[in-house]
Amino acid sequence: MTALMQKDASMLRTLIATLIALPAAAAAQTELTVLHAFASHSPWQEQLAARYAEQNPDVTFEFQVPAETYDEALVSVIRQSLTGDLPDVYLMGSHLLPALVARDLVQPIDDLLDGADLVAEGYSPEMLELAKVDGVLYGLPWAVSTPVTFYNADLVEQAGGDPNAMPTDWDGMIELAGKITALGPDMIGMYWESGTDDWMTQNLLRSKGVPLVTDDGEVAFNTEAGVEAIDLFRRFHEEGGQRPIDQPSARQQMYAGQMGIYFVSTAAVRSFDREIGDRFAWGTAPIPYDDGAGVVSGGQVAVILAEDPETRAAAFDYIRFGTSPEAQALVVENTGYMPVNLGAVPLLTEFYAANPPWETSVSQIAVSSPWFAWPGENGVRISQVVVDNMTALANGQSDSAGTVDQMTSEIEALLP
Amino acid sequence: MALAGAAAGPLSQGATRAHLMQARAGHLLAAPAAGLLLVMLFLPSALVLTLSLTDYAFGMPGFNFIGLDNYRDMLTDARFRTSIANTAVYLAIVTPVSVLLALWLAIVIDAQGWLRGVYQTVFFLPVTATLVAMATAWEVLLHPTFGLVNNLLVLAGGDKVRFLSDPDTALYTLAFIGIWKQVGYNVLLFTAGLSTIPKDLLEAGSIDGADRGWSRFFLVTLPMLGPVTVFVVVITLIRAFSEFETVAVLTRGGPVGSTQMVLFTLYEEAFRYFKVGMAAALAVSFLVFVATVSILHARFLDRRVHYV
Amino acid sequence: MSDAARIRRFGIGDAMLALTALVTVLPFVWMIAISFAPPAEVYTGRLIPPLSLAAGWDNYTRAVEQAPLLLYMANGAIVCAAILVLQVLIAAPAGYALAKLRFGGRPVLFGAVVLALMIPMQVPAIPLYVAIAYAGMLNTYAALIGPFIVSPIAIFLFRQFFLSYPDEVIDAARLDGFGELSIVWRLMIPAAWPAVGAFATLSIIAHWNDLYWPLVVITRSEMMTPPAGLASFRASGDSTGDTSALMAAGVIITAPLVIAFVFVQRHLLRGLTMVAAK
Repeated sequence: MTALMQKDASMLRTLIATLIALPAAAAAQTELTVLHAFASHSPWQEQLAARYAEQNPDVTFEFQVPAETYDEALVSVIRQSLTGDLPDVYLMGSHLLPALVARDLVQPIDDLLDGADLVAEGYSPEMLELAKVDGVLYGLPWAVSTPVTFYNADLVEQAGGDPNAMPTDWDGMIELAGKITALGPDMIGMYWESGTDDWMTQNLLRSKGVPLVTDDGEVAFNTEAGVEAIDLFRRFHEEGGQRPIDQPSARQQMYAGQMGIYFVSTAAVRSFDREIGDRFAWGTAPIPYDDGAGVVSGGQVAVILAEDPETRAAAFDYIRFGTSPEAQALVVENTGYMPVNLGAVPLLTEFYAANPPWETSVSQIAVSSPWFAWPGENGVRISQVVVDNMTALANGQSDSAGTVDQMTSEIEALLP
Repeated sequence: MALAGAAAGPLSQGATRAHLMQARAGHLLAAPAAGLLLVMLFLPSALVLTLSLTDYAFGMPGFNFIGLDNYRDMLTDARFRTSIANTAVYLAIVTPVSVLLALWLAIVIDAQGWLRGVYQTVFFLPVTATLVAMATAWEVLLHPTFGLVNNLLVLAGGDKVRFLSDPDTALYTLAFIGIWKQVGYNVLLFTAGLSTIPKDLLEAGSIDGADRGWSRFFLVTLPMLGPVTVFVVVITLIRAFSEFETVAVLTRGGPVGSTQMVLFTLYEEAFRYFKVGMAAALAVSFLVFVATVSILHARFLDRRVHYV
Repeated sequence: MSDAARIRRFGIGDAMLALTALVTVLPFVWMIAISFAPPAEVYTGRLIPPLSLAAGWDNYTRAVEQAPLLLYMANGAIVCAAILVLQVLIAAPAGYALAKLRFGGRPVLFGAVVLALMIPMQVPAIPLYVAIAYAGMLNTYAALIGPFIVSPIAIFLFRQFFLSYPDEVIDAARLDGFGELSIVWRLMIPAAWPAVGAFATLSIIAHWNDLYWPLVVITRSEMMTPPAGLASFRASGDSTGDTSALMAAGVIITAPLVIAFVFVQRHLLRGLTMVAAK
């Protein structure tokens, strides 16, 4: 053989050796595919994974393109179930868990728990409920929040209110918002962010103590109290100065200092902090609610879609890590979510003291009930029903009683 | 082929062999196209027809034949009726405006001299541009509070309009964007059509005294543009009916379903709610519309032939 | 007086034309303008935000960093080129066969083509999706290209064109020993070049800008075509969004076709005129 051919031959040998070794090397590594919603969450989601990977070098992560919303994520997962393309770890909107279970795409995690007592380990029992369907645990709560009241302290003062003593009832809040609207032509007093699902609407009902379903599983807010609660949304617009603009526009308005009060999940507090900076004084306060009423907690639940036992175990180890006190402290600091593991609270005392707006949500845990997940497979449709009806109300296309009727009949048609 | 009925003999034998070779070549050349048409188009379409009679849903176990229930739902369910109504409104606006505006533009541009090429390019730009990008640009322009259009409106003494977030205006805003997109294509077609009008016909018209006012336009230009106009109307109709991107990118059928249009509803039923049976029924209706329009077009052309 | 001159005499013509043209280019101009504005200044209530080259540089860099735009465009180029080449490869011989060759079932095939013209692609899309999904072929080039390679329009177009090609030339070629395929590629296609060009332009425009099908079959970022990728980029980012970078991305994605079109415009018109005449 010529020298050139010899060189080729040895290269070939090296190549073959590498190819043979490759699968063996790959086998030692586990790759976990993760799907979450909201691209804005990517930084901290990926940070958590990176932390874990540092301590567990045999695990690598691949993040699927984040879905736009919780609903879109479920749509994506269902489509992927047709190709065997499912992510291993799916951080889903807790209200859609029944839809996932109805399609048989997720298994309970009892086998992985192996008898561990999660409550004893610090997991909040209320939050664990979010990951259960019919009492069976399918995953772990990953990031939980409640809505809070964001306010522009300067505007509140200008309107004659006291930023340190924000109203605790809706009448007072709406009145204050009305005064802020009167401060200027482009001023918007308040904005209740309806969102892309029914979470905030459930909050509206809950703030007036209106139940969602009866014990028989029928819609229960088709009552006078329910209409009154939904009517709040109309009053926000007619008396409080809210305008039916889309969420990005509303946020811009708030960050620009042209909006007084903004109601949204505490998860947005980091964005507020970053966008507002110190251009004006701002803070958070609890959501107004009646005596005996409260708020609705909601958020993400981590479920494991992988079926192979090795991957399942690795995935479970990861979500245990992500819900541990240290990891949860990281999540809280980077977002505004509440810790699902109460063991994180002592780690956060300093942080909360330095960043009071973060703590408001935590103070609401005691009065929070979990985001109600409509049974059956039509969770995504039901979300859309609520969004559409509330938007119609905001645009003055229907009245509160009509909206409640419409939502009731449409939702009932979609329940099993 | 004039060889039909020829007597047997060496001549016709050679001719038959040539026939056979031709036939074989024809089959071979057309085979890929025929095969692909079957597999990619006709079989799936037949399947869709069948699926439309079921309640099949992705990922759910089992399905049933439910006959025409899907079609009945389509006509009775508020969501679908809204969708069909919206599409009809959209069609009714976009089609005439796109066609007439394009016709007018083609004529005016035709006489522009050196600017002609510039104008033709300008009006065809929206056709080449990626709609996702342009729709987003329009969204920025039409921003309810800070958009340029609203700022100009206020300068002119008007009120700000929440173009895409107000259920009363959203559909018309989409119609405007639809016209914006379609016109250039039609202008191009009309321009091509205009250039095929024989110059002597135009001159003959002027000799006959049909050069006063609009008479030459109506007597000569317009009739000669007849087939082209019909063609333009047909494709504008079909493209307007198929509007998907502006809805998918800008409004997602909202606010409050005011911009739900047939194709987007189909997409949502199939790929968001996974109700494949229903989506199939929508697809079949879509097909019926397009086929009807196409057949009417063909009939019209057929009749024209007799007169020309 | 010509028709146009008559319209112009009213004075409306030129002014209206200019105004319409202005409205038509407005989004293009705005998209480019905003791509040179700092993101915080985009929504401030001023008529025109402050523009600067520095801000532009930032925006374009950010756009390219946050979204694999070049990858999307490469995908678009691969998919469009493959579709076009295959479309012509399959349609031209079929069109020729339908126009010039006699074979059993020819009227049936022609009828099928005409029927196929009336079936919009959204109809077979659902079963095609299911089939592709079960075959594990989602997120592949094959999925993006496959359904489009048989184009009834192309077949129809070629047939119409080839019908008017003189038979004598074909017969002479046959006598010279040309095979049927050679006749297609070396005689017919070159003669119909402008029409091929027109079709190519329309095909590329249609498939480069197609959002529907890629949205259905592609979920992985690295396989997205320009419209799907841009839609994904638009949906990402937090609530305020980075409008400037988004516009910059839009400019990058839209530019190739727009620029290309400016160059081929004349030929496109000629090609379309040839088609219109038939």
